[in-house]
Amino acid sequence: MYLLLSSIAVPVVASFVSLALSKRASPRAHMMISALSLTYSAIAVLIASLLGIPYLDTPIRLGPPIGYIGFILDQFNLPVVVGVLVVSILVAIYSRPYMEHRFHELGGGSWGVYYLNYTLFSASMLGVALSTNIVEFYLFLEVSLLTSFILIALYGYGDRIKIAFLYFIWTHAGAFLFLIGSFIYGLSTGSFDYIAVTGDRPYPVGGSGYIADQALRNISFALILIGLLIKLPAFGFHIWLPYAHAEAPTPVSALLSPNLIGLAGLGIYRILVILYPGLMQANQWYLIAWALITIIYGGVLALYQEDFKRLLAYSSISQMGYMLLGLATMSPPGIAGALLHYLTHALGKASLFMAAGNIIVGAGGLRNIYRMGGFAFRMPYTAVSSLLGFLTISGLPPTIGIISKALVLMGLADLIFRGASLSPGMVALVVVTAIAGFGLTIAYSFITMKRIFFGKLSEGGGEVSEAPLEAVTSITAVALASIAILVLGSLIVNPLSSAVASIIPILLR
Amino acid sequence: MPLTIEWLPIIWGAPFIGAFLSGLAGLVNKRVSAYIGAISIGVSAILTIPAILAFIGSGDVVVSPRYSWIQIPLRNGVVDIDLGVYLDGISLTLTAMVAWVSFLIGVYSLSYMKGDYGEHRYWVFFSFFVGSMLLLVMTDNLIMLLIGWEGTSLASYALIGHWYRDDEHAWVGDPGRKALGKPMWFTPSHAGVRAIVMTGVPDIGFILGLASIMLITGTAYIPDLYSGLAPMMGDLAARGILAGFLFMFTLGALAKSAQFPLHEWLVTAMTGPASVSALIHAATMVKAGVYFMLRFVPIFLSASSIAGDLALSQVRDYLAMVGGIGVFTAFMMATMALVARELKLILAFSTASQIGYMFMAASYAGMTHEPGLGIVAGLSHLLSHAVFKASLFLGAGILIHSLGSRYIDQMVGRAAKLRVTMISMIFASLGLAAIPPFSGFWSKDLAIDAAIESGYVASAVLAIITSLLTAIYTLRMISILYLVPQRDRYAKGVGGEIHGDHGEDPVAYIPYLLLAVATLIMGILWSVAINDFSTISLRGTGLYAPEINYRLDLLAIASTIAIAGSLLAIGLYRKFGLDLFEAMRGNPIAAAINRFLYDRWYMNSIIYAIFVDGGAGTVRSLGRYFEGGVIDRIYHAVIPRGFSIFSRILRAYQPGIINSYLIIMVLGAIFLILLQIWR
Repeated sequence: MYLLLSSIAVPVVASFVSLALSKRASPRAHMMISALSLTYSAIAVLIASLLGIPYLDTPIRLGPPIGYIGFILDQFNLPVVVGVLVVSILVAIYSRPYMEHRFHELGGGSWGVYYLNYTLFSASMLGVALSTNIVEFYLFLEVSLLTSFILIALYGYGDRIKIAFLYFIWTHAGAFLFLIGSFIYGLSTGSFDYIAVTGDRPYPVGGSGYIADQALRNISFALILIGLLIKLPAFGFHIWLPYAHAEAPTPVSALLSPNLIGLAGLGIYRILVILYPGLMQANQWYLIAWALITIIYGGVLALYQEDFKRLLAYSSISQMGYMLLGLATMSPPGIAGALLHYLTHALGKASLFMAAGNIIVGAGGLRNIYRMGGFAFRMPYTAVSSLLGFLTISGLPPTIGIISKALVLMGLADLIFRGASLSPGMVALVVVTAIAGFGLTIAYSFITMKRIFFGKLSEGGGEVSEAPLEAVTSITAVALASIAILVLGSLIVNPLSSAVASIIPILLR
Repeated sequence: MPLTIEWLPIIWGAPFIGAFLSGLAGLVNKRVSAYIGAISIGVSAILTIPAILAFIGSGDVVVSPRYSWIQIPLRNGVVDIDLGVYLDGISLTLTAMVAWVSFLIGVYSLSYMKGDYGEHRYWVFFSFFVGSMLLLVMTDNLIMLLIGWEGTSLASYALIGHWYRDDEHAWVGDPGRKALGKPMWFTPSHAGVRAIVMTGVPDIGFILGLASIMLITGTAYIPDLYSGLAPMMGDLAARGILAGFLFMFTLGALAKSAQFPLHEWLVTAMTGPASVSALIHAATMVKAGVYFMLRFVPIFLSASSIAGDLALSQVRDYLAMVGGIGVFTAFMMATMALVARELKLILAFSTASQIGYMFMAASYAGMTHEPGLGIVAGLSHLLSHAVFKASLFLGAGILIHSLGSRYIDQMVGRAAKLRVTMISMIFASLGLAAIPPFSGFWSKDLAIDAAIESGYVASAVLAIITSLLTAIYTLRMISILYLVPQRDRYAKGVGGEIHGDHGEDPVAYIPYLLLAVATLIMGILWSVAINDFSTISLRGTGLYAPEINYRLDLLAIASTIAIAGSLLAIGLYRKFGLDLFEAMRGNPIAAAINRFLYDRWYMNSIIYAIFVDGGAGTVRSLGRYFEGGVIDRIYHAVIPRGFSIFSRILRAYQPGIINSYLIIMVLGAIFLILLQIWR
């Protein structure tokens, strides 16, 4: 069966249909082609999950040194896949009115080219999430980088060509390091698979794929880690993100910011946690410190921004710190929290970027927070969705954020309160840092909410009005999805929890 | 054997469903959403009656089946998070109180919020608030406790900032007033942010605490912790971090209950409608922190007694710390209430102050051989406070609305025209001032008794002084409202007319009248049946119910103090009237004290100077100099320039002149040949 392969192939075909029909089809038709093809993916994934998780497509064996090409839906990538699909389907709908506005500003643009790249971008992210092999992972990631690069270069804001190249060079520097590290792994072990198959049963490769040479193992771990930390991005490697995510056309930001970067977190899980558990654990305190710094730095810089989209971009850096923190704990709840936080962040940040887009469309290109104020009355649906978005990323009910935040913190708690390895002073330091870091998210979220939506109606907004129907429907749907996923939490959280709890102790044995 | 009742989760579920439906209905008709909200809370309230009867009849705790919801991973295996309910004496008492007080506030809101521009939104968050609070007191596990806990944070944020357009009538504080250079007036949207940040940030400590407990004990089921927590406590005690750990775990409760130094959010929380203040101060939110103490102190005591002396002594260090914070907060907030001019502000100060008594009682419970006394004291004071404070806030809402001012000195001589409100304000105030036989008298007496029993004499003395202050500020409020004769200049600029569109509406006044009468009835009941109450309310908590005999000496002292304080306040204000303010302003020392208290011990200014301004400075310098000046420059100026210099050097050797290329080629060939020969 090639159910999951088809979930990627159908949007790919649809994207070229869009290109072929470029001038002949109406914008709405393009939108339908994209949204429906991605809806097909969602249905395929749903069927796969009903057939039983983990679900693996029939593997296509290529032999050493590659391994096999396959697609898997398991407990670990389930939140990621749901995040990619929900957001990309709804943003496909949202794109129509927004890009109409953007094309109007740019003095023209091609719906065919936009939806070609948009749909390919979405499909490639789905491909990354479903991959079973480092080579597949890398190739899909390249397609997603290329398509998003084109979208920024063609339809972005500001100095868009320069920013697009900046984005391209940065992410390729990361990809290059990742690739060398992966080659070392693949060529030393004879396979690039991170999901092994015996008979029909897929299982994570785990320690079996170890590299014999200690030095080589360290080098390949370091290269893959740095490559993924650039893509994530972690503090120090983050400077490309605010440019790219803030200046991308807003629907693209809504996919880039939560979805694409979070895939690096999935990569850390799939490749580093599974294939290099010993090294992950040996270096975990460095990574935890790095993650906490990333959380705090992203949060502080978010507070500094005047531009709403740049604020959201810095908030994404901080949120990626949550993922890194969870993964670095190497504790089942921390890892489950990190993977679940992908979904949390996808829904929360997508609705916030869509809100930023609604304000851009509704208030004549306004992005400066200090010139906003009192918009809740004029754009109630956008305001409610933003509130839900902020609640989601700051981990408050009634959104799924509360579970993922609690799980990440639980992973951290596992390290500091279990056993007697840490001195009381260090415990206090970690606790205070965690409170500051997670607290900053709450602070910048609600301060921003107040600045934009509450108080007297600002002069700067001019005649603010609510966004068009498609934009309002899609933003509300994304925001409500976050509540729905909490209520129906057992569908995603339960398989993830039991899988993580059974695999991590084995890896660390 | 615990009695199992299937439908118990409906009690907390109904308001959530109400919030959802009222959200949908409000898209069509705002009034429908109001009725849905109020009815959903009514369902909860009514369902508490059979639950109470079953509890009294069963002789044991009452539980619901543990309906499974999600699973959370532990280090090995998973823990089930269920939607079940566990009602022991403490949670049952709180459930009944929350449901009924909230229901009465809901009925009042039907009248009070009618026609408001956010009526629909109000009901969504109101029901959500009540649902969250009920969930947090009823649930049997830690994760649902967390969800209810954070739910109350969200709802209070939304309701405090309900009038988000920041019209001046909803502000708190005197517009234009500054203390140490920091503005002392607050808009609803600002107050909302203060609330969620000041309660949400310390909650991270709470989450870390409960996450550790779940991980290490391997259970999320709260009743398991009485013994299950013991090994963990032993470990932490051996590492010397048990007291610190428990304090971190309690940070969320201290913030939620507005204890020093996290009290500032509560005093500006009255930017919301009066019904919201009643809900936050009486039934929900601030009571969550007290519930936390009542729920966990018995658990800490039981587990640490199993874990050994080292653990027990560290638990006592922790309890001494929290109890000290409680009694200090009680005193501090009472002094602020002495000089406040805004009606709701006086009530807000008194809330934080009374909650301080509850924290004190619940913490010092652990210092004695009869912890039951302190727990019952905390619980009874919580109950009596919930009833009289709800009544006071609801009455205050009508006064403010009808008289068109937030300031008591602008209500002089006019407040008495609202007769029903006057009666209920006076009754409820007597409860707050702890005048016998009103409820507050008995419960506060128990709280002070618990402090005395614990041996913390200084705290007990401070608590008694605070009760004198309480009587003074309460009766000062009543005197200014009802006893001082009207003088024109104090009503300057304010319409003398009673608006009246709400004032005489029975839907509005029946709730607070009922609550005021309940203050008296509860007082009478407590004077005769306190031992029955203590037996029932401690059932299932692992504590044995102490024989409570009110101490006659303490009763005498307390009633003398309360009555003396009241008479002093009445006398002062009756005689000098509002001239007291003038007198204080005239004398430099009195004026300085007045300013110090009026500006809340400058705590707000200090917090803003450190966290808001300091934070802003850090943010600016990191953003401008580090991110812009260092990181961005290195990556996007220094490194690219390095490459361009490198390429310029390389280009210098490729000038495009064929002759020079040929020369280099020949030289290279010669070099290679020489190399071969030399080898």
